[in-house]
Order: sequence, then C-alpha cells, then structure tokens
Amino acid sequence: MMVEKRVYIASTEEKAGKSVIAIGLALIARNLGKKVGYFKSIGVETSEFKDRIVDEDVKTMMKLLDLKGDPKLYSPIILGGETFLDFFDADKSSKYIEDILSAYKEASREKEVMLIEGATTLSSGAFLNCSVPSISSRLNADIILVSRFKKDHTVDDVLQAYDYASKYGASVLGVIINRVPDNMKERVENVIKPLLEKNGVRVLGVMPEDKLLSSIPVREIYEAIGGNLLAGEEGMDKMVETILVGAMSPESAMRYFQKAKNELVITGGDRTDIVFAALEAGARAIILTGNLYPSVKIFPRADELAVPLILVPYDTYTTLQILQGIVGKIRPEDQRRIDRAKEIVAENVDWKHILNE
Amino acid sequence: MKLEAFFNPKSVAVIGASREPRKVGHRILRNILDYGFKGEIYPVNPNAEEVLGCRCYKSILDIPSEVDLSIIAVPAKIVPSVAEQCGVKGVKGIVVISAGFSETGREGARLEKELLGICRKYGMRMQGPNCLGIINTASRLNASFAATNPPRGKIAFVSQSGALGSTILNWAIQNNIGFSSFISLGNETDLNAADFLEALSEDEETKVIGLYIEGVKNGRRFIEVSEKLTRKKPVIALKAGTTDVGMRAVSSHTGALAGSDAAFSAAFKKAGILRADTLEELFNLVLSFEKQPLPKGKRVLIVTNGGGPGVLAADACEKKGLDLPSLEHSIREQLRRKLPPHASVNNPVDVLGDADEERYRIALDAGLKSSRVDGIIVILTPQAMTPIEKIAQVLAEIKETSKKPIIAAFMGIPNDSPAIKTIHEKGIPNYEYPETAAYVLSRMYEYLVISSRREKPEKAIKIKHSKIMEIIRRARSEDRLNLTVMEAFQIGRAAGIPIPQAKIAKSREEAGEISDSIGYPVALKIVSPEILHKTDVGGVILNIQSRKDVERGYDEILRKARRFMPQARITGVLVQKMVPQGKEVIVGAVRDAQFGPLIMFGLGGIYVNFLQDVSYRLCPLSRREVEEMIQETRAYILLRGVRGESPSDINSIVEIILKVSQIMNQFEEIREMEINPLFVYERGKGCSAVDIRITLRK
Repeated sequence: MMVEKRVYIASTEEKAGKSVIAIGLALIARNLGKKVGYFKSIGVETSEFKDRIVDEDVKTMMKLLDLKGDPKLYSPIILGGETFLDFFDADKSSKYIEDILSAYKEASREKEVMLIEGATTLSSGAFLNCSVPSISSRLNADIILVSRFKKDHTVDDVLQAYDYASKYGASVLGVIINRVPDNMKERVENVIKPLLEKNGVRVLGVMPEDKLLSSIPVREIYEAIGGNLLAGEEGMDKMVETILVGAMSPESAMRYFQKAKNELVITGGDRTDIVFAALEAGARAIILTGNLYPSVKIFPRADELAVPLILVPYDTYTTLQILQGIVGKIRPEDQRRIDRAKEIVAENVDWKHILNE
Repeated sequence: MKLEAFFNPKSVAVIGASREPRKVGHRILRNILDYGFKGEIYPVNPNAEEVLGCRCYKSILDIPSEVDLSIIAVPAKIVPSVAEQCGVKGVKGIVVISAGFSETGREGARLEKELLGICRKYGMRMQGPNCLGIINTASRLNASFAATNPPRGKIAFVSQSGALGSTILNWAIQNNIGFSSFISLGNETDLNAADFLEALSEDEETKVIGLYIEGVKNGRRFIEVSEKLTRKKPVIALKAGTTDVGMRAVSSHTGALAGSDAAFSAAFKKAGILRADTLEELFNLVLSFEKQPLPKGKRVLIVTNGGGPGVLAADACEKKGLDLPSLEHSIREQLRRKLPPHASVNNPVDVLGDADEERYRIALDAGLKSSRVDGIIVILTPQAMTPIEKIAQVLAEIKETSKKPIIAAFMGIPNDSPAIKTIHEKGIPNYEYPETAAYVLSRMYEYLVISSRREKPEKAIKIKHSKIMEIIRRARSEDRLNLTVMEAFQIGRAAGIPIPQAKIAKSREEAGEISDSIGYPVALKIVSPEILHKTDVGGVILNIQSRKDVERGYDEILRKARRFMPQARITGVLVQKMVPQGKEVIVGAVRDAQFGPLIMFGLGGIYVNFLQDVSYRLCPLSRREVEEMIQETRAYILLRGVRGESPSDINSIVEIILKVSQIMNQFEEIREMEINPLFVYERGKGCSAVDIRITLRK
C-alpha cells in the first residue's frame, strides 16, 4: 500500500491549534475509510511533571488512531523543556535526519493518509537542520500552516512563513486561520483573506475561537500540577476558561472575579479573604500557592459549592507558568473535546482539498 | 414571645453536666443553680448519680417530665446523637455550647449539617453550636459558662463573639449596668441574629439592644426584622471588619466572606440601626438609652460650674447637629434673680465654680420648665468648695420626675465614688467628658427621628419590562456580561431615563450620516469593551459642529485608540447628540451578595474616583431615602447652587435614582449599572444620562 497523502501541520507560533486540526483531520480521514497514520518529527516534552519522555500529543494520537508500538517510533526526537541544546550534537545533524526518516518509514507503513505534526513553530529543529520545511521536502509532504489569529498581523505572520518555507523549496498547501473571535469574522473574510489570496496564499479555513477547546477540566489541571487536593472534590470535572491571580483587597477581588467567566483563581494559601471572594464569585477552582495550608474554615464552603481547593508548593508565578503550559492540550480520554475538534474542523476547514477527496 | 423556650423555659436539661469543676458542663450547671433559676433543672450525665446536689439522669429520655430547653456541652462527635434524643424527647430548643463544628473544617461541617438535619426533623430550634450560651435575667436563667452573673436591667446584648460577650458582662457589673438578656450566637446554624432580634422586639424586659456582628447570614431578613424592631426600640450595632485588613480578619474568624462596608452601612441605615464605631461608643450609647427617656427634639441645655467645659460641650453639640437655644425670657429673668450676678443665664448656664447643690437645682428646674429644651447636659468640675455628693443627690431627685433626658459629665471623678454611684443608681449616666455626653444625646435624637419615620411605599414607575428582558436575553445568548452602550441606553430609555439621541458608526461616512440626521453639535466617543476610561485614550471629542469635523474626529479617535490601546477591540464610534453641559453627578448600583441592590449617588465626571464623595442606600428605596442620600454628599452643596447660581433640578435626580432602584429590583440579572455622568440642569429643566454602563450577573 502506498501513502496517498502526506500532510505536514505546522504553525507560526505556539498554541495556534495544530493538535485540534490534526485530531479533526485524522478522524475525518478515518471516517472516509482511510488508514490514517501520525508522526511528529520533533516532539516536545509537554508535561513537566509526569511522563518525562512522551509528548502529550503523540500519546493522544496513538490512542485515538489505535497506533501500536513504542511512542518513540512516532516521535523520534523530543526536546526537553526550554534548555535542550546540551542533549544534542548539532554537528551530527545528518544522524538525526536519518533517525526521523527511518522512524517515519515505520510509522507510515500500510497507511493511506499520514498526518505529520511539527513542534512548536515552523523553525523548531532548525538547529539540527530539521525545521519543518526542511523535513517536509524530505518526506514529500504538503505543509498546512496554522496561524493563530492576531488581527491584521496575521497577514505578516503568514507571508513570512511562506517566505521561510520557499527557502527550502517546501510546498505549502495553504493556511488555516484559527481562534477568530466572533466579532472579527467579518474582517477576516472581507479584508485579511482577500489580501492573503492576492499574495498567492490559499486560505483553507477560518476557525472560530471555541470555548470548549480553549478550556480545560479542573481534573487535568490537578493531574498536571500535582499538589494536594484539600476540598471540593466533587467539582473536579468543571471546566476552566480563564486563570486569574488574586492578590488584591477582598472587595476589589470580588469585582475582578465577577467579571470573569469560569475562572480558576490562584492565590496565597493564607488569603482566606480572597478564597471566600472567589468562592462567592463562582470560581471553578482555586489553587493555593506557597504550600501555605489555609484556614480550615474555607473547606466547608468549598465542599458545598463543589469548588476544588488545590494546595501547591510553587509560588504564584511558577504556578501560572505551569498552567499556561497545559491549557489547550487534548487528552485521549476527553471525548467531548475530541468530538468538538472533529466538528469544528469539518465545518470550517476545506478538508476535501487537503485530503484530495 | 417568640423563642419562649430559650428566654423563659419551664425546665432545663444540662447534657454533659460534669462533676469536674473545670469542665464547661459543670460551670453551666453551677451558673444555672447559682443564678436562681425557678424552673426544673435536670443534669444529664451517664456516669454520675448526682452533680452539684441535683439528681443526674443517664439520658434525656430518662427524665420523667417535659423538657423545654437542653443545654448541650458534650464533645462535638456525640452532639448529633444527643440532639436526636432531645428530638425524640420533644425538647423545644437546644443550646449547643460545644465547639468542633464547621469552624474546624470539613468533618465539623459534616457534623453541623447532620445536626441541623436533626433539628429540622423534630422541629426543634437550635442556638449555636460553638457559643457561650444564653442568659435571661427576668427568668433567672444563666445557661452560659460566663464567669459572672449579670445584674438585671433593660439591655439585651446579642454577640457573634463569645469572648467579647463575656467581657461585656464583666464591664456591666463594674459599671452597675443591668441586662435583660445576653445571647451568644455561635455558628448561627439554625437561629441567627435576626431570629433573636425578632424575639427581643416583643420582650417587655428589653428597652435597648446592643449587637456585635461581623457578618450576617441572611441580609434581607436581617433588614426586614430590624426595620420593624427599630420602630419599637433602639438597636446599636458594632460591626467589625470595616477595613481591608479587618475584612481579612473577619473572613478567618467567621469562615465567610466579609461583606462590603458600604453595604453594611446602608443596611444599618435602612434597618434604622444606630452604628457605633467603637466598643466604647457602643457602651456609652446602650447606657443612656437604657436609663433615660428619649429627647423630643434636638435642643439641649448645658448646665456647668466651669466656663471651659461648658464651651467644649457647646462646641460638641453644635458639631453633632444639636441646637443650643436661649431660654425663654421669663425663665432667664428668674435665673438672673436666683443666681449670682456674674453667673451666665444664657446657654450654657454657668452656675460658677463655687456653685452648691441649690444653684444646680435652680438651673436644672429652669431646663425642665423651659419648652425650648429637649435634653440637659450637666457638667461638674470638682473645685475646692464643690459639694459633689449633694449635687449628685439633687440630680437624682430631679431625675425622678423628669421626662427629659439628663446626661451627666462629672469630670475627673472616679467611677466608684459615692456621688457617681448615687446618680448611676438613679439612672443618670455619667460620662467623663462633655463631648461624650453631647455625642450620646445626638444619637438619641437620631433614634427619635428613626423611630418616628413612616416609610411610604413608592409608586411603581412604568418600565417596559419585555424590552429590557429582550436585551438581557440577547446578551445571554451571545454569552456577554457587559452590555453595549446602545443596549444600556435602550434599557435606560425603557425605564424613562432621559438619554441624548445616539447611534454607533462603523465608518467615517456613517458617522457623518448619523450626525446629519440627529443634528449638530454632536459628540464622538470610542466604543470598545476594553476601553473603560474613554477620555484617557483620547476617545472622546465634544461639541463637533460640522460633518467635515465629524469625519476628521472619527479618524482621530480610531487612530488614538489604536495607538494607546492596540489590544482593544473596537466596536465603533458612538455619535451622540450634544446636550448642554450640566452639573455632573453619578448614579450607580451594584448587587451586594448579602443585601441585594446597593444604590450609589455622588459627584460625577472624571473626579468621582478621586474624591469619593458618594453615599449609599439599599433597595427598595423610598423618596425620603433618596433625598437623604443626595443631601449626605458634598455634591448637594453644589446642586443647591453656590455664588448666585440657580439651584439644580434635584427632583429629577430623585426620579432617576428611583428608576435605577426599580430596574435593579426587577431585573435580578443585572449586577451593576452606572450612569456617569448624569448632567443635571437648572430646576425644572431635568437631567440627561450621557453615559450608561450595565453588567450582567454571571
């Protein structure tokens, strides 16, 4: 069997929504009766605290597509955290390219559609000569660019990415503009899209900002951040949309929290007043930082309202950083968001063109 | 009387009555016995035959006759099973002294819930848990573990703090002050402050109520009950946790969110509760309210034997809003005849440093006789020849027949001296400083006004209900909390609030067309959910006279907004009919978690955040309350007109505030509403709401 279609999903920046599109395209292709494979040329260690070796996206896709074997087969190279140069020998880039090509050969065996995902951005892996455009030409895959909507800057981002890809002679099929707020849809259709097309860029889809996809269940936050669940266990399946830091007077906190929706509040363990304000304002979960064990008086109310209270050893800033790392990841067991990913791609992306249907 | 079983039970069981003198259960039983409770007393303790000479029962179920009230002082874990037995026994009320409930965390909270369930199942009422107990001096019941037995009197004290409660009892004894009831609220799981206040309103033994609170359980009911109660008798409350730091402390003490202080102040005003700012003020006030009749007005006579203290008292009265009238001509004549020639017969009446008791009697008689005097402050400075005790005696005699309040300020005389004891016993409060005496009289007058006010319910204002609902529903369906300025204007119009004509333009051409159709001059304002302070980003241009300038202004506003706030989403530019500049005021409303809609009025415009010249009231508002809240602000001085200005149309502000109050009352979905600025014009010319912001509840 020959692979009929190779799609390389890459993005201009972090959190553009590659995984959502990969999941969506994978499920659509499979529904068409295709044998779908997945490959991530360069993975990133996404959960800093567990599974140090595996890229979360790879785990999710393996499960979703029922791919067997060692995860390493589907993501031969993994960058650990922000400081990874020490672990690679940049002089031997050809060896890494070989690793990627041979792993890909295995991963694509007996597949009809191969979805290949890049690391964070188009240029990730350039230090090993393994950037997206360079690998995509080797794999003979078409790049689909996912661009997170940044108003008019979107145009510049996309054109620059095209420029970069052309340097390697890579083929770019088109761009998907993602996370477009409702009130900007018109502008994208009337101004941005025509301008891109005038510059020879095919717009393959315009996807709206989606509440469900950009939110995350408290349980996942808890699993990723660890810590000690003190109360409110019944609220672990609540969805979090916004993360707020509470460090002001209780009255200001109340006003601040009341303007947010489905918020998670991070505050010091000793700020009983902020905790009560957050509880009354309808917070979805509260993370207490600095390992400061709070007053036990807050537990009953948290239980009553089913708002998980999670005590963590980190300071507020570290906590915030960890949380930002996990927002937007879709887990294999999260059927609701998987379904949503498929739906949103099917509705807003020209998948027929991408899959040659 | 409501809660009769708590205030006047026929029989009391003490569950956990220990033989061990250090144990709380022992202490309570001893207090009940020592204080001379007249009803039946049943100690319950499975391990004792007898405690303090009373026969002991293994369980409450073994008691042969009925039990009205059970005092429970056993470990928290077994309180539910004990309460269950009380329920089976048919006990009417339980006072749970034991701690170890929700104040200690999750397990405690579970026990507390279980306990409440048991009370509900049997229709049994509960005070506490985690409280000091209850004392009623008329029925000689001291079911508390307080260290002292308070004397009988007419003050009821209700406290959310047990420790403060027992301190107050000690203080009362030292100052010879009597109580009718003393209630320690504890966790208020079943019965809360409002329940006890309601009961005390019917209690003939109680003349004045002192209240220490940190938060309330059910704000609306608290106000309803207190509103009725304060028509009959004064309530003086000390609310703790008024500062940010204090609010934090309250949260950790009570295990609840401390409410905003503005809301509490407004709640007290609505309820007619007098707020004391310090414990000392609370003490001083209950003392005079208990012992003295209310003044019939605010006119005060000062009698003094020292010039300086008299002047201080006069200043204090003036500052507190009391009047110091001159006495009638005939009375002054009499004083002139009876007092030494250099005595002052004006107000303050100075009977001079060598005054004896007779001069005091003459001056006091004059005050009682005068129809221009509502209350008397008697100042005494101890001088070499001052017969302090005899003067005290005269005061005591005069008090017997006086229908006017007489407040003493015997300065520099120890509380335990015979003179002070004499006047205290006769019911004349003594304060060390004349300023305190003036303060107390002013609060008594304030209460007179509160108790005589009769609120007329406001006529409902016509509001296009379905129009407003439609706007709210649309925002909900689009998952928005902030209404757009046009939606806010529509809601304002639906309630009859005058708003200048306006429309949003999405292009410079559209801005020009709109301006042409509504007529010049116009104002342009940036519309963006992210830009709250439009003037800060150059987002407002006023008084534009031509289409050309409108188009130029449109471009300029957009350019500035993009430069100063590049992240902001820009909906468009509001083209608004320019209305004449009036005095700028602000009318706001926010829904308080405990008390419901809180309405705010103050000076408006860009200075509002800096001057804090605002007043608050809780909904529903009466016309009187609205007028009062306007008068409370400094803006009122400007609105009345200064330096020959004509007065502003204050009536039209009243109407707007009533409309905002009604919107907030009818539409629970609205969390916050603000008209800023509201332009107010000369009397008869109304006002105009130039900008309105509305936010929905989550």
